Amino acid sequence: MSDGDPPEIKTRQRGAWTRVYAEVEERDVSHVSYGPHRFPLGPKGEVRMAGLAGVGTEPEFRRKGLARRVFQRTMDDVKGAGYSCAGLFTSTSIVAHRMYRRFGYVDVARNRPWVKLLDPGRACSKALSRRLQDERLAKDLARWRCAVELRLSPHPAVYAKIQDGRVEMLSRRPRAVDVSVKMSAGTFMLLREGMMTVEYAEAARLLSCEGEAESCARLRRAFGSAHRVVRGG
Amino acid sequence: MAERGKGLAIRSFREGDEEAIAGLFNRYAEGFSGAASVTAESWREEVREQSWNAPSLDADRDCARLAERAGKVVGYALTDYQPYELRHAALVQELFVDDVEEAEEVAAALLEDAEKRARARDKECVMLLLSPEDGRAQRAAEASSLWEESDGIGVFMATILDLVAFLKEIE
Repeated sequence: MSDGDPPEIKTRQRGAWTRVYAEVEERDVSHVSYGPHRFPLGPKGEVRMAGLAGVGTEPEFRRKGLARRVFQRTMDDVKGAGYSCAGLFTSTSIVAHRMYRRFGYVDVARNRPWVKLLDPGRACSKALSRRLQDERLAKDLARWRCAVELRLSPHPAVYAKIQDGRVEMLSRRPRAVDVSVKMSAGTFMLLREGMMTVEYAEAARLLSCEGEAESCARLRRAFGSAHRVVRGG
Repeated sequence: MAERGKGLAIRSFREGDEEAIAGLFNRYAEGFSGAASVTAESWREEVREQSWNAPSLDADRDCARLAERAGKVVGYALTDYQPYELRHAALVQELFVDDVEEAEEVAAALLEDAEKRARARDKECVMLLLSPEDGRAQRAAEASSLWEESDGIGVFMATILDLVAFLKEIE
């Protein structure tokens, strides 16, 4: 897509739903769908609302104003179709939430995510990689016998370490659940208490490092005062 | 089809299931908000069209799973294995269970089934969005070892396009 050649915004119908999309070289690269959604409200029990869904833009076409154009066209079409209101489900943690606000949308009802981690070890590894942001440090960590306290959440999630097959618990709360976490040379025991998030924040603290002095010093510097919540993902 | 205790079986969506799914949704909605608005056709259209919500049933029938007991559909779950902005997750978009005996067992079986499929697809987690007011759903999630996240909020957003028309609709 060149700057002087903005993609055409098209629509197509499928049943009661309309898909508004930007087409580049016969590819649908940014899209929104809308259709009738009966929303429970008022003495009649419901209002006829335009439900918006399928909002998305292919990664390589983001940050070009395309999503905004497609969404603007959608809103124009929705108004033209005679809807008095429109609604959509989204998350407060994605960029699009701000765009919807700019189009006049307000938060009406909130849901909380409930999660089950399928592989805590991998989640911890990813969280650490994001925390370190440095491949060499990640290798150091995997190579030497290290113990790291990890928190994957702004809320308490407490971890202990295993060294030489011995479980050394740092802390344990009443509702804690034990999950083994393996990371190459290091093994960690994760004790979960309360809530934990996969995608977002993590705090990490290097508790000990037994290995080559230079590597350990590098890790200590990297973690430094890292016992704080940072944004990842 | 996976057989479970007391004749409970979980299976993939088949043509003709739309009516049963719409019935499940409407019975739930009647109890919750008094509105019963889903038809077999509208459910099908929404699932086909809402690509951020769920992959097309035409391409992946496993995204909709039904719980059956004695040949009767008693629950269903719709899971998106490629949710927008949450590629690491299997997002259970809809989970409805009839108010039958041992409904919790049906919900747990559907969640366990979603978890199994998420593992097979190399996902990091199974995720559900629940209303803070829906205590029954929260208990079912807790019983299946899900926990409430501290961050990230699913939100329904709305805007009024024509105030006069909107007020007429609700008066």
